[in-house]
Amino acid sequence: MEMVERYIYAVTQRLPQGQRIDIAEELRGLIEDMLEERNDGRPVENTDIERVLIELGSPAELAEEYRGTSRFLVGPDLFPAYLSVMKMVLIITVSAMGIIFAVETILTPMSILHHFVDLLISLFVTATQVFAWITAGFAAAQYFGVAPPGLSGGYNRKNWNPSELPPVPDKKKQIKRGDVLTGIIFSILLLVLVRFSNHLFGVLLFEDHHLEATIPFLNEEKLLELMPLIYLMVAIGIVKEISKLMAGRWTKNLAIANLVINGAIFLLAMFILRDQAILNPDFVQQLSDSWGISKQQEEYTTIKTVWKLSYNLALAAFVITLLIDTVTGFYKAFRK
Amino acid sequence: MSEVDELVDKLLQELRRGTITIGVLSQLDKPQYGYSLVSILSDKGMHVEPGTLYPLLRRLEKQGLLESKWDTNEGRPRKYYLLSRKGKEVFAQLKNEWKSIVGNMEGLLRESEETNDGNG
Repeated sequence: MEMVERYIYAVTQRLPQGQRIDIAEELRGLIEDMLEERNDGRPVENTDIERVLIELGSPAELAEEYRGTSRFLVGPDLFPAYLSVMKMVLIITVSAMGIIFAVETILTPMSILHHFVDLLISLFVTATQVFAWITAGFAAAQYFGVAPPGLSGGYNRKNWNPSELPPVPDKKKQIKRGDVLTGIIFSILLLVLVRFSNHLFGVLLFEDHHLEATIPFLNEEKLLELMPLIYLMVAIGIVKEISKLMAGRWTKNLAIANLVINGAIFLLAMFILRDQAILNPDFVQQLSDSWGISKQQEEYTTIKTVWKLSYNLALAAFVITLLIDTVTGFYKAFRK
Repeated sequence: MSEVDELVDKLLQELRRGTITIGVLSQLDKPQYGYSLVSILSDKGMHVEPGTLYPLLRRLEKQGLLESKWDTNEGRPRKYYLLSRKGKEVFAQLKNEWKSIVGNMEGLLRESEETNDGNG
């Protein structure tokens, strides 16, 4: 009879705690009844038990009958969204780490091996973390049944309404996943550049293919002060990209949201750049010194003019980019 | 097993699945335990695997169609199931639905037989 207990254990183990004792008792009775009937008074042998258990079906199958539903960590409704989120986030994290690796290698090329080992370790650690957290998030959504309709295919399974059917994507209005990815990766690249700005974001002076010194564009002290705002700006930018991705195509609402976010980015940028305090105040002096140009020389004035012009051009480029992005959104949303 | 037999087998299984519930409800005016129900149904021509029936009884109980009670007086403890008031109501309605299905099906099948006879 030991095999009967093993069978019952194998079934009940797959069932919710609260039902186990009751079902075990019932199954025990059933198996005894079946044995009694099949044997008709003959002593029960192991082969009889085996035959009865095989008739009852595999423990997994029987337990599934009892549960009535199949169990998923992430069910078929959520799985496509799970896959695409996983892919996107992994691509972004891997690129971010690639960027950091590249930056560190430029700064200290001698320790490239060290950086590479660091890269491998953090790739492994981060990828594991990303995988675990995304899976945990989706598993929780599955378990509590709280998945937002956008993730589970766009409409309620039971009470769906034909008007909720997502429109067939219009190629011209569609937001391409690649563009969103590029946007996010570009934001991260910019952030890394600024963060390491006193080494990277400036005029790089090389000597024998070796980074000798950097004349930074930005004022390190002021930058540290403003860093939280810069993080905020990048975060807003990433939120913008993600909302574009979730919308999937250009709509009036998305275009308006895009306008608002771009406006916020513009205001933040203006605040960060006010009085030009974030710029390296000694840039012209430092560059002239390294080139051996004195204040009296004509070249000094040229450097000064170019520096000011470059700043204004960069600012103009930034504003124009934001404008184009905003207008493009409206254009794509409203064109037929 | 030929392909036709296999298909017939599969479709028949689907067909039977729905009838089991009505069959079970029809026999639970008096309390029965799972295996006695298997025998009763089997005697009347409805073959149900215990592995299907036991979980079904439990589901019907959870839905409030059946009530259950453990009887520990006999040699081995047994769980007896009985129609609840809600179960009786549901069964009465199902019975009517079933009769109309049978009527409709008979009409359909008679028609198809007549057409085939006419053609063939």
